[in-house]
Amino acid sequence: MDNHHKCDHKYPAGLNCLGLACLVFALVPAPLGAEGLLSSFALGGKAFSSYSRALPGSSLADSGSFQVEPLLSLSGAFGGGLVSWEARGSWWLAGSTEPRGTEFLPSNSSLALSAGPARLELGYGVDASPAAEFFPLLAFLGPVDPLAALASGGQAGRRKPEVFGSLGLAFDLPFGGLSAKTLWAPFAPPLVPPDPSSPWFPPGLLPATITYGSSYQLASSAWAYEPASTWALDPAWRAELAWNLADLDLGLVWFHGRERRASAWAELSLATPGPRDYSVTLLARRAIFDCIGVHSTLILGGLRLWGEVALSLGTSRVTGTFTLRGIPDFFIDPSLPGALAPPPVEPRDSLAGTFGASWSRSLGDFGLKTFAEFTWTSFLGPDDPEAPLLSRALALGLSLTGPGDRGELGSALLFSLKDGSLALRPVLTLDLGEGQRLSLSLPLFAGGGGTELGGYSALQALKIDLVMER
Amino acid sequence: MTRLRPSAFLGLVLALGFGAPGAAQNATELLGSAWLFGSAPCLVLRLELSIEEQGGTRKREVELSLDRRGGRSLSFSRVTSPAFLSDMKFLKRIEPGKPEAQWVKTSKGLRRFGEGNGGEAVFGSHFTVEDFGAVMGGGFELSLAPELDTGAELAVLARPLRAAAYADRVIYIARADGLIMRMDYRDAAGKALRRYRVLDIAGTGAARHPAAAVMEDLARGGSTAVKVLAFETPATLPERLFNPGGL
Repeated sequence: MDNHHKCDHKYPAGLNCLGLACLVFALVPAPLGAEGLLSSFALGGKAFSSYSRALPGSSLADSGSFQVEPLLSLSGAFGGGLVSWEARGSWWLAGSTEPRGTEFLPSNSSLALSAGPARLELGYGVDASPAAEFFPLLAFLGPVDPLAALASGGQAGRRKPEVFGSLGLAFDLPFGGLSAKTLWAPFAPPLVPPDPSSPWFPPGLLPATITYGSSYQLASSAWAYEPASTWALDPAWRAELAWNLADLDLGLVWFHGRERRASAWAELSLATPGPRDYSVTLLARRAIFDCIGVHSTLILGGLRLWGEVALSLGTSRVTGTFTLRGIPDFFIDPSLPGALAPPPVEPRDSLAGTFGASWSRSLGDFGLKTFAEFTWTSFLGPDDPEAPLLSRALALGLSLTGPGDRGELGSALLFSLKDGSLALRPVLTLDLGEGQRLSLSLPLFAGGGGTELGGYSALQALKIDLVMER
Repeated sequence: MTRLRPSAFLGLVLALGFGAPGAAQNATELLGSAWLFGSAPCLVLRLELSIEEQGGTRKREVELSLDRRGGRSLSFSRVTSPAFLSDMKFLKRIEPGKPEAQWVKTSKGLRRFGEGNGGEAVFGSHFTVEDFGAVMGGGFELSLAPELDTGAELAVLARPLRAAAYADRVIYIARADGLIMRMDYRDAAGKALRRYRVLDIAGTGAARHPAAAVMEDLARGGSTAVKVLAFETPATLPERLFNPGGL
């Protein structure tokens, strides 16, 4: 269920140059040799390989994939130590056997300057999305796709890098730490097409005329992206005010901008009707939101409690198209209605809350960690047809580590409060030493075919992942 | 001892103050005059950790900033090598009258976590969070242990009041200047399970600091050697370093 689409990327070369410029800037001080100007230099990376073995009855095929991410990191100081700098650059090469293909991307490059209470960062990276950073508590549920993480082990993210800048100020005051941070992404975000092979993909958005044996077959298709418009101004802004008290963190966040994920509406067009030779155009819709939220974390001994509430007001509209072409075994049912054209503009207002608790305990050579999380989204208009799955859900997790830090056995359970469907992912991770980890996971789904999670019971596979870090 | 994510290279710091250990009247005062890495109010260290295990040796480099002015102990750690962990940061604040507070910054964001992680390994090494936490709070029963004193060191016995992987901890503090020379974690029979030792000392006065130390796992084998690559005593450190919002 790992998803590697064969992509037709159209990124301006200038974006890559920005990342390189950051590194060049960072490298320049190195030959100067001034004390502290270059205080650390590290070259390393991460290699990830995965094998997926389909369970009996699954519509998946056995597959393998890999991902290599070399990384360069430097830091130092100048101006008598008044200004410190950090630079990082990484690149991302991924490939898979099913669907067969590779892709290469600069994934993260940034240069940060810090002086006194201020920190300025400029870069190009996948962590720049203001929308993705809106919920800063690393909650399991929320805007992140938890099922994609379940299926892929968190590798091979589908977000695309963006140019970004951020400025932060942090003060230590008698009543606690106070900080303010703004982040902006000035250009139109690259379109990230929805991933039909992910349970996160809203299946109802595919037209009924398309009957597909499994979403995996859709994943094996080739995507054609909308024309590159990355240099078009479409700014997104995020601002956060945070207050850190003795055992309580409070934050207020505001965001304005276009959402980064896209939802798909099909505009069925059979260019060349035939079992393997046609195309289907999908309209990508992305909303522009104004969003304000509050979040808080409370520490009570070994118990960690967190919550966040966000009000989003926005409208969704078509911002581009992408095309499915030549899908193997793609089946068109001619007896069903034709294209489902989306309305031109759709309100997308909602009030969402996520609350959770975690507890950890050391038990000699072992450690126990648990968490529970609840999320609920209220749509202020009609229920949002473009809402991600699990907008009303419960998550439970339990893991045991040890002995001697050599392994971790855990499981996460997702329960849809909308229709009662379930997902469970037991995982065993073994530390092989020398920065190598081996994990075995088995995502399982239960529920009826029309439910949020049950429809994916045909996609069950045992995954074996090997990670090496240096 | 459970493994903390590599992100959580925890602050190699002890929330200890200053003063002459010889004048201490009780264990709390003695610990209050002890120090682990240096007696200056502000410190910046670059450390190399060599983690010896059956599978081989792993090396980590960490930059550690400490600010102990105003009765507080603030520590900020940043992994500088290996490269893939180099954006991981850890902040720990120990302030009088407040619970210990700690945050971990990873590439996925900032997260605050609570107690109950004391037995977690520091960045995959043989150090644990607890090795560098304060033992002066309510979590320990402290007493002087004159029977364990050596010629150059005073011993303090710390018994954890909560469940722990050891029965007690003996902290050996140099009579001359308060440097913590050794820590033994013992079982109920008094047998050492883990041992921290200073191997070499450099500098004088406020710049005096351990140049090399080691934490040995005597029960299971393996050790982590600490080498101080650089040691500075700046007059002040920017507040931003110790503010979670600045991570």
